[in-house]
Amino acid sequence: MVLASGWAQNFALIITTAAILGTAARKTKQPTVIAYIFTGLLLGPFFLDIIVETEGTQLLGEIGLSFLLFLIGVEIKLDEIREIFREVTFIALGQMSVSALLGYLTGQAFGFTFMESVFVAAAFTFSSTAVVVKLLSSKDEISTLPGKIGVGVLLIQDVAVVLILALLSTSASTPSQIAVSIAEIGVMISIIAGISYLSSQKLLPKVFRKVSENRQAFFIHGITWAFLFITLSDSIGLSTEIGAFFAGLSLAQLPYSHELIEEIRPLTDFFMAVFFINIGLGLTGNALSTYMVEAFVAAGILMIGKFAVLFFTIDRLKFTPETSLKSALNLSQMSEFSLILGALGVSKGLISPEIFGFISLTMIITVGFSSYFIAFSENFYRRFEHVLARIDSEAKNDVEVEALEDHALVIGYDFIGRRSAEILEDEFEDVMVVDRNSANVNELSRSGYEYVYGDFGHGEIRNASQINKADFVMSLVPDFTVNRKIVEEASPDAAVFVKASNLDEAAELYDLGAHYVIQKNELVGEKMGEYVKLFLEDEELFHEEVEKDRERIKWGDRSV
Amino acid sequence: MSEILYLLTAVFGISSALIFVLERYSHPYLPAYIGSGLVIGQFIDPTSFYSLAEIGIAFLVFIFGLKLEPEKLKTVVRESQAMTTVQVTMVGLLTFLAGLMLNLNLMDSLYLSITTSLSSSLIGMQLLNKEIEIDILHGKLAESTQLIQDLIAITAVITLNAMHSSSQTIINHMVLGIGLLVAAGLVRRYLFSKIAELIDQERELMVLTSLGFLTGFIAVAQTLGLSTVVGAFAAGVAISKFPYNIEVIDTMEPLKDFFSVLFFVSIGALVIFPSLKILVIAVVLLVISQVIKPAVAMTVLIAQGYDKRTAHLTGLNIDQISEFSLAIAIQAFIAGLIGQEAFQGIIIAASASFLISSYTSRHGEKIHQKLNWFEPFKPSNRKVREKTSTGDLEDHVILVGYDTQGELIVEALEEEEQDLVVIENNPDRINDVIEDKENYVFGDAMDESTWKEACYREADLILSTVPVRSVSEEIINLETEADKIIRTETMEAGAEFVDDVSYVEVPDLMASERLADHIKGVMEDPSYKDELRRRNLLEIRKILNEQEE
Repeated sequence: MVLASGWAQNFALIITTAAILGTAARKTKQPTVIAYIFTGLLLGPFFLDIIVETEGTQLLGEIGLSFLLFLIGVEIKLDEIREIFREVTFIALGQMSVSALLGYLTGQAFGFTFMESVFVAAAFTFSSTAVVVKLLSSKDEISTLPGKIGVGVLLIQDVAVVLILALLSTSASTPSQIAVSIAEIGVMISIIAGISYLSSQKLLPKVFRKVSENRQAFFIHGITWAFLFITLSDSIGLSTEIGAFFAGLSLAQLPYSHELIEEIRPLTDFFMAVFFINIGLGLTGNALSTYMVEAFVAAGILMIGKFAVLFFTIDRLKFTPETSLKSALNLSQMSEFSLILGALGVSKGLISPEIFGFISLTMIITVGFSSYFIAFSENFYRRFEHVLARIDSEAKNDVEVEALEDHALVIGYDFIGRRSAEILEDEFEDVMVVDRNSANVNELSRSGYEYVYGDFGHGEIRNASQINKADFVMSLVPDFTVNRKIVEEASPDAAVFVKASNLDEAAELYDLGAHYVIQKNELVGEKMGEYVKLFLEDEELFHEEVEKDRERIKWGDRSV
Repeated sequence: MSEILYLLTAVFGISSALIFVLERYSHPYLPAYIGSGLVIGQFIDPTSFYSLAEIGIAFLVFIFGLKLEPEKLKTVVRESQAMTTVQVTMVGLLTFLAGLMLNLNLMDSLYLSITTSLSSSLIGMQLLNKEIEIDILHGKLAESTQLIQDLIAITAVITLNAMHSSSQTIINHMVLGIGLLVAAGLVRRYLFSKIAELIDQERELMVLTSLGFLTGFIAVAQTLGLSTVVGAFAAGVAISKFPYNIEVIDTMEPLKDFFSVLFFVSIGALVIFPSLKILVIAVVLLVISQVIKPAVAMTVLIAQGYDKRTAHLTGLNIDQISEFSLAIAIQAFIAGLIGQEAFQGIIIAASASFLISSYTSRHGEKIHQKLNWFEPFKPSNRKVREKTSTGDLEDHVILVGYDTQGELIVEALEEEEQDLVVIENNPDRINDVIEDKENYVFGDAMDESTWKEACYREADLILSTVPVRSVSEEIINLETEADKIIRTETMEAGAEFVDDVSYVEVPDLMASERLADHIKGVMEDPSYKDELRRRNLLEIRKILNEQEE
């Protein structure tokens, strides 16, 4: 690959525009996805026509999508989905069939041909992994129940997408050939899934255990793993996204996956931006305008239809109305895969570019609106709370992960953390330890404490620790910003002990409400000062006093 | 698409495997990447790596610029001005002559001298294995000299680039180059804070903005006919405003890692099987940068009056070839400024130097011991005595290390009216000691001359707050009747020494005991925590107010 001359200029223009529009979007509280699509629209043939979709941008976009699926794979802890797996499958299948039907009928209503309607049906079926995961994780809501349902449904959809994509890529035309192709694809997916599963059990824990302390090595290994799978699936004819997804999935079962997620997030953010910019770049005025009215109508039908199906299905399964509403909102849009499908369709001569334009426009409209709905899902819920209350009933309950309450929370498991946790165990029923050092994994997993491996700076981890319900919070983490968040997020009734590195930090933390600021140096200095004074006043007494400490140090200190 | 994929997979796959092996031995990773490049280069046409290398360079240099904090320059630079000037000049000149003697042309020789005279802040900093070291004198000296060298490097890049154009436009080029940097400086001062506030820590936007700056400056540089390196550096400088640059660095870290790998792999891929001449060039470069350069630095430092240990360790810290030089060399090679032989020689020398210098840093102490006999002239230890002020003391307390803990101990001692000598080798802290009007010896606790100055034989108590093993051992080995109290980081380390001394201070143990009291207090009495808070808040406010006066 040789870079075209002037690559920097093009790139700079694209990124800077995206940055500016993205910032504008953020400031006006819009989702950035829209800003990126607009960037592409603005600079591409639709508007200013300065930049053309090049091989370079396309490549980046594709890599981005693969990385996104990798990220999604890493975020899916199968154990957590396992609880709701049955429900999720039901929801997914129900939604997909109804959406497909709806799509087909819509196509027919607009007077499209059979083949065109089929494509519309396929486009309608899937929800956007990129948008949903991106928006949910930026709100730290992936591990909430609606988040899990969303991810679960998307997971199942992804399997279907994979099948369809693979099918389209083959040259099968007769039903028997198609059947054979499906079988082949099924086999290959199983192979990849199998490798993924086996390595997550046997190989990966060994490899990653050693390197998880070194950030750089960890990152490189993670990337390598992704690339290996991507290449593997590419070489056996499946799309790269599938490989990336399974690579991520196999890593998700390791306790260190959170670290990896945070590591590659900037990379993924960047590639995703390019992906959406690309979408904008690829749209020409002509293709879009032919079916503009129809697109709006279709968008409306899709969003309302999907929402309805999802809402009632989830409600049927006895989840709370809040969950049903949010889950349904999260998934009511058209997937970016529809673009990929459409592009394939055009290249095979199955549909015309205008139909592709129609699909694209519909997708953009739904993604646009949906981003708002997802971003403001909480407000939505509030608005319709009383309406929903009417359909609520005793029987409806969320399948919730057990929640902790009135517990003691220790963040950071160093020497002091260890001792403190021991003391706290006497008084508190539940003691939760959050720690990001892989050296402690074994000990903590086997201990009686509730254990979360991860960095407390990440919103997801803080949510998982239920910090606002804890009665005692002790942080041994030296990071000032994290400790500040801790003091702010802890309940006002809880006792909060945090660490600080200097007096200014300590003062601020006290001001914010901390009850005790641990400054190791101060503690030690005070103690040492006392000892030294004792030495100078009465040497005999000094030696007696310190004898106990000396014994403890000598014989190692195993228990209190 | 597939070919890029396979390329990237191969690159990362082999690098991964090599890293996995190296992890056991805690090696630096750079040689692994270069190694995998070597392997891949056999199968894939090296020219396909040029673009990857370019992007990698841009990122590396970008991060260089990011970490540069112009405010720090004035203070940090002063530390090692003399030493750096002498070293860079001498080493540079020597290499230049060597190049000419090897029949290389002017340009090649110039690039060779840049290679040897500059050492790396990236690697150099990575190799300073404990954080403590930055505070210690030799760490500071090393940091300072590397900073100066970064600046020299970037100036050299601009100049050299300009030189290969016709003489008319040389001035133009220089002006443009400097102009770009100045523009970056202006952006940094006036524009960037506003932008950063707008972004308000949104990570996604930060990535985009940083990349926007990077590509923007590179684009401008390219349009002006300057090299990508200058653009990338300027971009880094533009965003280097503290504290935002930390966030940017954090966010960009993965991207930088990603592209660094590509960069170093590209280097490896570009290596060809060396001819004799190339090997000779490489060896010459290595000898100069690994042996002569540190020797010159050490000699200058000792002549200035620093103690031998500081001089030796500093010298050993700068004994590598900078990846900055590599970046410059690749650029020059692709642009046809230097020849294949010089280029190959530089690569080989650089790779070898990464490896070697990781060893010398890690075993710095041992090397220092061995070098102790090497005294081209009697060290005046002027710096040690220059800041020393002790009388002839008896029955005094010697305190090693004047950090927060040290201060508290001193306060306690003042009440007892005991004579005190502080041993400290951090120039900032020594100023604190002087202000507090205590006796002191400014020197290295590992160096005998320091202890002699402190009259250790007549002391009553030696108290060390430095948890460094070698210091503790040094103290234990001192022949004196004084009681000794040392400090260790862990209980295990403490257990080793506990029989040799009067007391071992293990901070964790002491801190956790104190803390346990507070925890129990909170659990027993609901009002305890509020009382605790109130008390401490008042205490802290009082101290902070006193500090302001």
